[in-house]
Amino acid sequence: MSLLQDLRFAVRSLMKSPVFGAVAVFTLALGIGANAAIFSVLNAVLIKPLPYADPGRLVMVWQDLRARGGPATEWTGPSQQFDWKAETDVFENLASVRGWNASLAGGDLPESVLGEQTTYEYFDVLGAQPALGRTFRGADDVPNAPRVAVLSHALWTRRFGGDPSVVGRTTVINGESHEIIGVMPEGFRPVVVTNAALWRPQRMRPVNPSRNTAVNRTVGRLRRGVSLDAARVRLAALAARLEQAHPESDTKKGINPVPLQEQQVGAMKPALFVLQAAVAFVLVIACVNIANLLLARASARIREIAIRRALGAGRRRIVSQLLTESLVLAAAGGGLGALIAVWGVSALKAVAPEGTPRIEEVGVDWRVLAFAAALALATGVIFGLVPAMHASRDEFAPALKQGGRGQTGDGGGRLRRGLIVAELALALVLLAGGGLLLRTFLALGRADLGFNPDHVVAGFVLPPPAVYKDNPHRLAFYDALLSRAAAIPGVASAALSSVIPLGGDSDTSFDIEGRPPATRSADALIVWYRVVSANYFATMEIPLRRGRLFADREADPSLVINETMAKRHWPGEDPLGRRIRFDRDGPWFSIVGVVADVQVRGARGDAHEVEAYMPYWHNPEPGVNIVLKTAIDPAALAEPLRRVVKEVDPGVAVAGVSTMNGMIADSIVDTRFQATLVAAFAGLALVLAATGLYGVTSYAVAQRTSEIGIRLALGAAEPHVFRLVVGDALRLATIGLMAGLGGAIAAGRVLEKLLFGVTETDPLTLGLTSALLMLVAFLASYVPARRAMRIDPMEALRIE
Amino acid sequence: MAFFGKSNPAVNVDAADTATLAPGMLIGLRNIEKSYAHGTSRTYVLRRINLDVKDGEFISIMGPSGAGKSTLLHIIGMHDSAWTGEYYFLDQPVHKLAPKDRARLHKQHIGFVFQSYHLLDHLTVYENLDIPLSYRDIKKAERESMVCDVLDRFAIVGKKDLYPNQLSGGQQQLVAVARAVISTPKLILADEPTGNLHSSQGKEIMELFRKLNEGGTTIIQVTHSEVNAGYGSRIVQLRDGWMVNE
Repeated sequence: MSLLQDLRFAVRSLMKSPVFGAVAVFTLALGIGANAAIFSVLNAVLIKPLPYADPGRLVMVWQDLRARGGPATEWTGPSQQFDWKAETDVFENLASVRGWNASLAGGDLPESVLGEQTTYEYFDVLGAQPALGRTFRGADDVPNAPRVAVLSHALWTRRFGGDPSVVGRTTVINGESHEIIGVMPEGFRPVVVTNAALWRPQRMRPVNPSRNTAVNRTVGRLRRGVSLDAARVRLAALAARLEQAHPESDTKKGINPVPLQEQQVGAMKPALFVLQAAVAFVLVIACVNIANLLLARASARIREIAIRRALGAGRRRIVSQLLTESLVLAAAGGGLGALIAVWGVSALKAVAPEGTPRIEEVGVDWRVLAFAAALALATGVIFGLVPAMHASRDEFAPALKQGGRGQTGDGGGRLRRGLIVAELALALVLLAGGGLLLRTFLALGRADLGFNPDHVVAGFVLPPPAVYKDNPHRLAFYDALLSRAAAIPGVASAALSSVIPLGGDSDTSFDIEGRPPATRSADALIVWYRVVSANYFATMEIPLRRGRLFADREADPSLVINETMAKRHWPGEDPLGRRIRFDRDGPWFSIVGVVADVQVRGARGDAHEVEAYMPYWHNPEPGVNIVLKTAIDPAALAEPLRRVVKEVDPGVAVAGVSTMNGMIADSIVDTRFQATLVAAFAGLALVLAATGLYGVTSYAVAQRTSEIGIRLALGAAEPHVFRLVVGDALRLATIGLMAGLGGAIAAGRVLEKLLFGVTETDPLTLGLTSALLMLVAFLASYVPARRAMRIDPMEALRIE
Repeated sequence: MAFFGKSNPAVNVDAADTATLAPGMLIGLRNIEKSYAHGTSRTYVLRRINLDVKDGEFISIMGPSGAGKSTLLHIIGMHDSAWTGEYYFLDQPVHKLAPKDRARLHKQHIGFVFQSYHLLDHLTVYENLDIPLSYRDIKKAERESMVCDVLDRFAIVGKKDLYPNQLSGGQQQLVAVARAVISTPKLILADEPTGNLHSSQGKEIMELFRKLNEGGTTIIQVTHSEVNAGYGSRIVQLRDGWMVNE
C-alpha cells in the first residue's frame, strides 16, 4: 500500500516540476540509450553465438610456426587438409577455404565478384543447408571433376532474379562453364570471405599433396565431447608424428586450433571494450547530473521533508519515498533510452566500417532490453540513494525553525561540488581518450608508407586461368593491357604489380648463390615477392637507394630488392650483383637495385619485411594489379579502366578499382569509427558536465543571493561578483582537471594498443582537452555569473 | 578620512544641480517617490520625500511596519535606483549618475549596518572586516593595518579568527559595525541595528554609534525604539510612504 502511495506521490511530485522531470529523464535516456546501443554491438559481436549449428565446436586450425620464429596462425596447404582431417578423434570434419576472384560473364561488362574455393566438406563443417539444390559432394572435389558452383542468396536474387530454376543451369565464371548446383539461404555467413557471392570446390589432388604451400585457411568441427584443451594435446601429438614422418617440411610446425568466434571477432574486443567504457562514463556523468538535480531538489524541499519527519515519518519512509521518485525517473529514462538505443543502433550500423564482423546481426534484442532495464534500475537506485539519504538526515529541527531557508548545513553543497568535480574529471578522461584516438586517425592518414598515394588508382585483373593457361598468353594479355591503359587520357603513367600496398601479399622461399641451401623448410629463407612492370617504382614514386631499376624487357633475370632485404641478408656488404633463385630448377636472378621500404600492410603493419621485385615478363603471375598514376582526379579513371580491360578481353573483369588514398582511408576506417564514437561520447559527456556545472553554479548563486547582496551592499562592483561566481566554477573545474588528467593518463595506457603516432601522455592532446574543459567551465558559469551581477542588493537583503 | 570633501572628478555635474544643496549639507532629497505598478493601478511606497541631512547629523527614521523606512534607507544607500525625484549627495546629483558612478560614490562614502548583521558565515571576523576594503582596490599591506586598527578600536582582536556562528548576537553586530566603519565612510546607514539584540547589547551598539557620530560620522538609522531614537539629533517620521513630521 505504501509503495502505491509512494508511486502516486512520486508521479504527482514530478508532474509539479515538469522541467526538472524532463531534463532528468532526457539526460538519463541519453546515457542509457547510448549504453544500450553500444551494448547491442557488443552483444551481437562478442556474446551472441555465431550463426552456425552448434558453433561452440567450430575452430579455425592454423600451422603454428612460432618455434621457427614465424607466426602462430600460418595459413595451411593441401597436406594439412588431408593429414588433419584423418585425425578423427579430434575433428568430426574439416574443410579448407581460400578466396576466389571470380569474373561472371554476360551483360555489358563482366562482373567481378568475390567467392570462396573450398574443399567439399565446407558446408557440412558449418552445418549449413542450402536453400535450393545441394552443396558439394566428395565427387565434385576431385581433379578434373565437372565444375560446379553454389550461389549466395544475394547473388541469386540480384543476378538471376531469384529464379528457382537456376539450379542445374550453367554459367561462365572466369572463362569456364560451371553448373549451378545450389543456392545458400539468406543470412549464411561465409568463414573467410564474409561477402562471398559464390563457392566452388578446390578439386585438390589427394595423392602426395604439397607440404610447403600455404594458400588456405582451415576450419574444423571438433568431435562432440572433445574440449579445446584436449584437441590441443592430441594435435600436438599429431604434429610430433608428422615431424617424424616429414622432417624436411614439418620440423617445428605446430597445430593451433582457435575458436571460430574468437578468431572472427577477437580483434574487435579492445575497441569494443573501449567504446563500452567510454559510453559507461557518459552514463556515470548523466547519473551524477541527475543526482545533483535531485540533491538540489531535496535541498529545496528540506522544509517539506522536515515537516514530514516532525509528523512522524521515519527515515526509512522518507528515503523510500524519495527513492521511488528516482526510480520513476529511471523507469521513464530507461524506456526512452531503449528508443534512443533503437535509433542509435541504426546510426551505428550506418557508420560502421564496411566488413565489421557481424555488424548485420547488431540489433535491439531481449538481451539489450534487459541490459537497458538493469541499467535503469541500477542508476535509479544509485543516483537516488545519495540524495535521499542526505535529505533524510536526522537534524531536521533547524529547517523548521528557519522556515526552510538559511543555515541548514550547506544544503548538500559540498556533496554536489564533489560530484561535479568527479563529472568534470570523467569528461576530461573521455575528451583526452577521444583526442588521442583522433590524433591516431590523423597520424595514420598522414603516415609515410614509402610511396606517394596521391593521384593513383588501381584495380585487380585475373585473366581466366582456363583461357590464359601459360606464361606467353598471360604476358600478351598484360602487355596489351599496359599499353592501352597508358593511353587512357589523363593517365601519366601505367604499371603492373602482383602486389600493391594494402592489397594482400605473397611470400616464397629462396636460396642465395654461394650459400648452402636450406635442407628443411624450417630453415628456408623467406621473401615477400612482387612481379612488377619496369615503371612500377616511378608510378608509385618508390625511391631508388642503390643501383638501378629494371630496363624495359631486359632479357637477363634481374631483381630489385628493398632496403630491409639488403640489410638482413648482406649486412655491411654490397648486395648489387648478388644472385638468388626462387626455385631449385629455376634461373638465378641478379640483384640490380635497392629501393626504399614500403609499408605494404599499412602504417600499423608489422616492421618492414624482406621484399623483392621481379620483372613481370620473367614470371607473369596469374593475376595482377593495374596501377595508374593520373594527372586528373584518379576516381574519374575507374570507368575508362574497366572499358580498357574489356577491350583487351570482354571476358575479364577488373575487381576492386579504388584510389590508393581511398584504400588508405579504408584501411583506417575502423580507427576513424572508434575515434568518431569516442569523440562523440566525449562531446556528450562534456555537454552533460557543462550542464551539471551550470546547474550547480546557478543553484549556488541562488543559495548565495543574500551573500552576494551583502557583498554588493558593502561595495562589491559587478566584476567582483562575476569573478566570485566564475572563480568558484573554475576552481571546481581545476580540481576536476587535475583528477581528470590522472585518469586520462591511466586511460591512455589502456588505449595504448589502439594508438599510433601519438603517445598516451601526448602533451598537445592533454593540453588542448584541458583548455577545452576550462573554456566550457567558464561558459557554463558565465550565465549564472551574469545573473549574480544583476542581483538587487536591496531585494536580496529583504529576502532575509 | 582620505575621501572627505573630495568630489569625484569622473562625475560630470552641471552647475544648476550643484546649486541645490545648501552649504554644510551632506544629503538633499527632493520629491523622492517610489511606486510599483499593478496592472493599471500603482502602489506608492514613498511619496514626495523632501529631506536635507547635515554633515555630522544623527537621524532616526521611525514609523510603523510598511511605512517605507527601509526603502528610504536603501535609496539613500544607493542600493535602489528605481525611484523618481532628485537626490544630492555631497554636491553630486545621484539621480543623474550612471550606475557605475553611483556605485563608486556609495563605495567611497557609505557604510551599512543591518538588523541581521549579514556577516558572511564562511569567513572569519578578520576576513569579514577585510571584505569592504578588498572592493576598494586598497593594497594588501594597507588593508592589514586598517583591519588591525579596527580590531583594536573595537576590542575584538581576540576574536579575529572566529567565525560568525562562534559569536554572540551582540558580538556579531559589533563586527558588523566595525565592518561598516572600516573604510571610514562619511555616512553610516543602519537598518534596525539592535532589532535582534537584547537590551544591554543594543545599548552597547547605540553608544558606539554615538561615539562615531561625535567623531564626525553622519548616521541615519531606522528604528522602532524610542530609546534608540533618543541617541539621534533628529527624528523623521514616516507613515504610508509620507513624511508626517520632523
